[in-house]
Amino acid sequence: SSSSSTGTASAPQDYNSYTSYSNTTDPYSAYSGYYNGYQQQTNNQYSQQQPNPSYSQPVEAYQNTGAAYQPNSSFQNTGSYAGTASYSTTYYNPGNYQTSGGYPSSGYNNQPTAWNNGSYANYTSYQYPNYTSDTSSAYSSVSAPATYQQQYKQWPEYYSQTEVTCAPGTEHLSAASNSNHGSSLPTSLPPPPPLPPPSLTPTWRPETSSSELPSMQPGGAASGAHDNYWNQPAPSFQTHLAAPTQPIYQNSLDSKTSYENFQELKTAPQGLNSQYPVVHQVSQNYQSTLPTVPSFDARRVSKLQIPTNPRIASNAALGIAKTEKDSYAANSAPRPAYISVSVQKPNDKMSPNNAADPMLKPTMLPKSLRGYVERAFGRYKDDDAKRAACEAYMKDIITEARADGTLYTRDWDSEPLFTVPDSLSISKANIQTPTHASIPNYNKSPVRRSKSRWEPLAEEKMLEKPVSASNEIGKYGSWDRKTFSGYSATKDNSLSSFRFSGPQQRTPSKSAQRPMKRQRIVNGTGLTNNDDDASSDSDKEQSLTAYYSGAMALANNPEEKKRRESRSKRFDRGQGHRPDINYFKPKNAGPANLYTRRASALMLSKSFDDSANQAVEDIDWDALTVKGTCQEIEKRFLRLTSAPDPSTVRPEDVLEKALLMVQNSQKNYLYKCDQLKSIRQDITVQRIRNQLTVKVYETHARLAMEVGDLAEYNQCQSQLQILYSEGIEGCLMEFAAYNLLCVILHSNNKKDLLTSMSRLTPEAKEDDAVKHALAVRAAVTSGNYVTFFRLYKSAPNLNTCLMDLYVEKMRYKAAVCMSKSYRPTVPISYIAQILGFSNAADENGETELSGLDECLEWLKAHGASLITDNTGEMQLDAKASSSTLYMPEPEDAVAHGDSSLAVNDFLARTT
Amino acid sequence: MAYLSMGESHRRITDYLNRFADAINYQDGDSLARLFSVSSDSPSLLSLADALNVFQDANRLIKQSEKFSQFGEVVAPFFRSLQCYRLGNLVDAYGAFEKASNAFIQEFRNWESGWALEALYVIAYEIRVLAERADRELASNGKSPEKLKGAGSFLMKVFGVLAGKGPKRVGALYVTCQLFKIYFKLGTVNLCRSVIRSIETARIFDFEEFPIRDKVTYMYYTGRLEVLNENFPAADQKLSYALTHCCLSKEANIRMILKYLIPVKLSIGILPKKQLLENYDLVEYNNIVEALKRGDLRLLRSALQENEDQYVVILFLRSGVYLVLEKLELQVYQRLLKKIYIIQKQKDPSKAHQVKLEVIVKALKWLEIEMDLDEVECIVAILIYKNLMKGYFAHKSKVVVLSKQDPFPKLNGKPVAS
Repeated sequence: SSSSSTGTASAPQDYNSYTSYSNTTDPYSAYSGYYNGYQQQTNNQYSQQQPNPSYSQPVEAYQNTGAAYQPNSSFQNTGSYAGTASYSTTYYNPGNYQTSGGYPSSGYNNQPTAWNNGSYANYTSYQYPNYTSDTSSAYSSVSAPATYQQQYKQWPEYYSQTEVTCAPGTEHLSAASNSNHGSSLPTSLPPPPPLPPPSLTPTWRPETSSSELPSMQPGGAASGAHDNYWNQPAPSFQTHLAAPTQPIYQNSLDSKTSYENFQELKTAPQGLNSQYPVVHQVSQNYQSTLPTVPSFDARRVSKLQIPTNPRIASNAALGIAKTEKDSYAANSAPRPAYISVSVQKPNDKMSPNNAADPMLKPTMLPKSLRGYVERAFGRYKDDDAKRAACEAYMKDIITEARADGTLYTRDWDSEPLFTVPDSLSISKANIQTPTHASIPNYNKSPVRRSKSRWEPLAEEKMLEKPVSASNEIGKYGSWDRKTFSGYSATKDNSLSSFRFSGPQQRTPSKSAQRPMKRQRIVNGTGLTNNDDDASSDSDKEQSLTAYYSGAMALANNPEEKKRRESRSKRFDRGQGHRPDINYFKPKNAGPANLYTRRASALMLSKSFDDSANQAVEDIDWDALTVKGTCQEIEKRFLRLTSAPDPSTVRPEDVLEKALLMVQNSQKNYLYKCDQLKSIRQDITVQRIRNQLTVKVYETHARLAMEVGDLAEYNQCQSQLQILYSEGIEGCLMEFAAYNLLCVILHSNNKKDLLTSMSRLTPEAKEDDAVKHALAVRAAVTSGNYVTFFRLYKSAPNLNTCLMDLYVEKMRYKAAVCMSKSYRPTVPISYIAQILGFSNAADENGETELSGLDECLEWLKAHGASLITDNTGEMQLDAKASSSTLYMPEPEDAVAHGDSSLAVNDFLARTT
Repeated sequence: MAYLSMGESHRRITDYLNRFADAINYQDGDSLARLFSVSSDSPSLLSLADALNVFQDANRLIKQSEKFSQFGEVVAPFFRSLQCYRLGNLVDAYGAFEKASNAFIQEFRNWESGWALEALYVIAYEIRVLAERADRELASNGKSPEKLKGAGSFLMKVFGVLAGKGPKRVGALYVTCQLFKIYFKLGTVNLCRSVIRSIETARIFDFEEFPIRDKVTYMYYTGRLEVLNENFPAADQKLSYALTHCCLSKEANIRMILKYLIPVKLSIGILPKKQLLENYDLVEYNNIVEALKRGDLRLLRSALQENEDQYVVILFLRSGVYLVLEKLELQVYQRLLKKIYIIQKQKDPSKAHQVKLEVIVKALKWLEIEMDLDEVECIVAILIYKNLMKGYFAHKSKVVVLSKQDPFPKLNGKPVAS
């Protein structure tokens, strides 16, 4: 049937996605995730590509390019988290607690179940209607333990009896987790996944520790779930999957019932998955899934909305989740339940079947494993080498798992690894471990699911079935990452999800560790919660709610909504290759058009070329440039944290007016600086490089010089040099002189000085300003204070302003020199005249006098010893002064070295 | 290009491959080095390049036999580089050569002994030279020259391969010198510091152990760095080392060293003989030395001022000695004052140690240099302050009172106090 065919097509895609993912052991994984999503969306197109190995490589390339975008800092963060993973295990060694502790996220959901064992039935019935998602999640975690399994079996019944929706969800939880793992296996299969061996070991360790604990039944049960938690990366993928998968399926499969079922299943997994990563996340994911789900149902037609949803949903979910958290445990969360119900309704019929499947899977793992192994091999038919590797690894893994008695856990844990690995031989082993987990699902599903939705696919092609499942998983994986990243971003309170996506996408082990840290916190809270009735929130959580609400507010503001709509429209356009690019957008809350285009251009350039440079040169930047539409002349400067929004960028003619306005403004420098910076920003984002640009920079440089704002001046100067070198007209000489002065007086870099001097053209040397600057340089290098202060008085343009900053130093040098070489005394009047204290020598006596007084003050402040000679004239006692002169600390000195940034002064100036 | 038959091309290529394989098998570093020197334009390599252009499928030859295919990663890109070089496409030639070098470095890393150091030297040299030429080509095409920068980072990698215990470490200084050349050319001399630090502080390196050739080059460049820092004693020491160890037959090298050593020596009060300047064609310093001897400020200024001889000034600016030479002005003043003092002494020994400011102004006027009393007073104060003159200045009477003992102390190898 058509459905089957689509399944096959999707399978190849998954492979691609997985390959990319495996590559993602490094930070770039985030991109790969996007890429995956992309492939999934455009299944039809890409399925063709799958056969070609060459194409898969481009995918990798994309990921690599992604790396560039992700800030390193984010990775480092993950590194810090690495420690936490081990910590948690050791920390939680005590019996039962381990499970909960080690898997903090699980703690929240699982523990309630464990505690409520007795009242389980009640719990289910009571919560069920409301809590579809919640309960399901809790149950799923429980599902692993044998004791609970019985209850699970009952579940299907419940489902059928009560509301179908609930049942699928719960089932899916358990099933989903299994299926996801299974799916993860397939993913690993396609390319020999090159998982780094080290990554494996860390993940495994936690498991073993947990396995020891499982002796306690609750613990053991938890461990199954916990394993998942440990491998947060993997679980996270699954959770997110729900939202993305739905859209995808809808696109390709639109009206097929089987697919709908899938969707349901996926939604259910979401709840579970979300819980895994972090307690907070669980709740969040919940909600996120809920909103997304309804939307999807409503508009199945709109295929591409998915990308926007995950991110937004996650944010919104976070906010909601946090606030509701308290109520969550005690009160059956009303929202999630409703939403989930609505979604699942269509699928009600199918749900019972699904429920049965999940039940079987957890219990039967070992058997399923074997079956699955065979299937996995069957898949590998074409590739003997891979097969062999798989076999070896599987054997190892199974034996190990047996020895530990944690077959279950192992599989779960390995899942993330498995997905991540690329095509390394080492990784193969990892891959197989995941396969174990996945296998059980498949094996069982055929047996009991004879009539499940999966069936048609399976019957048509046994091999294909797993593939399709894997496809889903693969998609999920990518989506999860996305959402996850979004989540992390919100957590860190920075809205630029870009950065944060990095760490999570890293090697599985690392990403797992990162979540762990959060989990630990959660666990602590979770434990207390359990004791107290699970309703109390910890302070930390509350503090987090603040973040989330903030994020939510942002997500909810009208502009943001508008952008999202436009984004979704874009997706509707559905240009075949675009989806991949679109994935970037969700991350950036800002207006994504330009941004994505740029990003995609960069990606393209980097991906297709070893030496990225060439490709970068070929990018058509013009096509990516913003054209502003803002008509307001005044605009405050705000550092861009996302792609510029054309509606807030002023076009050139407005900018000209703005410049005039600033030039004629009577306001203080801080205001002008702010305005000029915003003008510069608008110019930059629109890539205007003409006389206006030069004028703006010149204006700003002059203003900055007048107030001695060297930092700002230097920025302008360096830009101006570039602009001048491009042949744009301006006050070239004037600024060449400034540049010289700046180098001489403030940087004292001989090399720079030499280069700027040797660059001077003969004409430049004839220019008065440049001549003056050169003379100043000569005076400074020879220490000739007389010449210096003469030049100071005769400085053209704003040369004085730059020299101002050196005057103090020069005067001090002069005073030291004079005190050493003059004997016995030097008249103060002479010093005042020589050292430029009387600014206007040609004016009346008053100014002379004031200059003299000023000089006196200055000398006193610098420790000079003064005497009065017999004619009553003040003299500098040279010999005495030679040992007492010192350079006083500037009175306005501030700790950070820039007095213009002193708080008091700053406030005084702004108000 | 004369007609070249396929057979002949084939023969030449296999011949090269055989020589390459032999050089590696017998660990013959010199032969291997010769096989890499693209820019040497040696006849054998040029003919090989022609053969490669005729026989397009050299890669098949490499893959054909096990003997050659193991070097495929080195030889295949090298062939491409050679081809491009022959066709004048230097940018691609550089790119391919870097690829070949990279592969070679990987191999080199695994060899215990340093037998292939010679070949590595050639590679380091070729990398730099090809990058320079490629940059020239890029610049002429209006593109941004970036290959030399890339060569710099590649050589840093090579340095990392050599910097370790074992016999290969003696090659590190050669690579360092190539890096210096690149950094000086790029004007990013501050990048030298990290390399210098590892050479001078790492225990694995014993400076005396390096080849003399590299030591001289190293001292030359570090001396130049010291000139830029105006650390004259250190510059003097390093450049003198380079001069005394430099092979006498390398006149061009000696001239390069002297170009920096002479200003350094001048600034610590040591004047060169005229013969030296003439022997090594350093006549641009003639006037400066003369000005120092005579206390002729005008001559010094004209030597350093653009109107007279633009070329020389640009030369000084480019090489970075301009600022050093400019500082000689104080020494010229000192010489002038000393002359006045000597003349006064001849006239009236009892009053010789009192020099009136007016006299100095008059002397400067004879030199056609207009300076008023304040300026001269300032100069005198600075001379006393910097210990170029012993004594004091009496402001009231505008008289320089010189010390009766050694009023004009000689620098004798010490720099002027700052």
